[in-house]
Amino acid sequence: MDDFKYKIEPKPGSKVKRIATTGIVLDFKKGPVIVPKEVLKNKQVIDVVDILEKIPVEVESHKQPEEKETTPGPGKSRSRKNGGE
Amino acid sequence: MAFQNTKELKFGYSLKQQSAYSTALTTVDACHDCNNDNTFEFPLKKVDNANTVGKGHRWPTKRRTISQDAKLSQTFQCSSWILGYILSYALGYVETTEVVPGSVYEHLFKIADVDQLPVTTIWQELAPGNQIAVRDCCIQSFSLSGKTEEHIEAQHTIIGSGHYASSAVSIPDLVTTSFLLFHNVQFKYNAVDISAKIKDLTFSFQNQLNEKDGYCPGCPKFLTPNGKEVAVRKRLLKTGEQADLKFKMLYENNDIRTDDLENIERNITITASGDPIDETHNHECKIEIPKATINSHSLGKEENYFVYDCQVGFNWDNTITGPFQVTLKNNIPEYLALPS
Repeated sequence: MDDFKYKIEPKPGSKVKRIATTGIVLDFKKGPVIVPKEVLKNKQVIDVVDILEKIPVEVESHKQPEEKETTPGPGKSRSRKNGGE
Repeated sequence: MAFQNTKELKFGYSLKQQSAYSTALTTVDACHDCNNDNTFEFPLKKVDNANTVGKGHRWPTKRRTISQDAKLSQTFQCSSWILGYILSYALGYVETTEVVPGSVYEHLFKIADVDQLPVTTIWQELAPGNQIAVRDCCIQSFSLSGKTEEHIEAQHTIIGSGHYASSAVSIPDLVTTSFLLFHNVQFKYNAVDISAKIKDLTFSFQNQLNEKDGYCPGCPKFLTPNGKEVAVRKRLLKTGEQADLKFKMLYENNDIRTDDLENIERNITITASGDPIDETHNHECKIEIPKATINSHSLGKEENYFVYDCQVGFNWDNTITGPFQVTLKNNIPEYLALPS
């Protein structure tokens, strides 16, 4: 499922440089900030900011790295039966 | 023998919020004096078997400690420092504007749209070497009250998770403060300045918190000296809020009675100022209630003059997205910062 982050900044004309609430600190002193969508569930944050861009979040691949064929070392078995025999 | 005088009690506060509930802060920002010598209480919930039957008598034979709470109530001569501290944790939402870069800041506090209010850690030192860090402290309620010829008094009630730990941080010296005085208050009712008629006022706010919910399965444990486990809160959910304004004013006409009878919404603005921050800005707190109604009033007497005793109700206002908001101007750059 696609997921997004959002680039936000205070609405035009707003002098707000910083917004803080539980677990969230948005510091706009250096310009727009990128936030996860959960931040925009807060009604008060939505009131104050404009969304500039919706940024897709790359979903990390969970593929296992391909197993390389290697020659087992001397005295080592590549597979074990239950019980370690 | 070294008995400890209550006047030597010391508290350390932080303007930073904890990164999460159950994650204590490790650095203290400031020390602020208070009017009372209250210390943290850690009430225990215990159960016994007094009411069980079949044991041949009506007395308990065993008791078990289930959970621990943490509570503290303090009153302060209201400085702009402690007021910002109280508002940030009690209301939980702040927008900050830099009025003069690096020196004057304006903070707009609103009731946060969150389930869990921000929490902080408070350090309590009964004596040197006897210090505890009480984590997960949330402001359950606060009030600001004033009378003629007095400081404005701030009061807050703290509720923690019940967890505390021995600590040995260095609590700094008393923070430099600017006090807010009642004679500097401006009270506007329906945009008319009626300050000179106000005899006293109290603004109070309460977070309704589900105190039992936090002792849920999987909640953290407090270890007793003997290694026994006592439950402490995992969270403290907010279920609602309540705000109240009471004031007493010299009787002059019948306007308040008409407003009370007809539930007319009026704008109330209360401004309190303190010392200068720079040449053009003072420490200042402004409480705005855009849609206030007189919920009740009564005619009383005070020192041979008739006074109105009024209680105000708060209606929701869409413009400010709330029933009231508080603007605080001071020299503190940020509230509710997360620990670095």
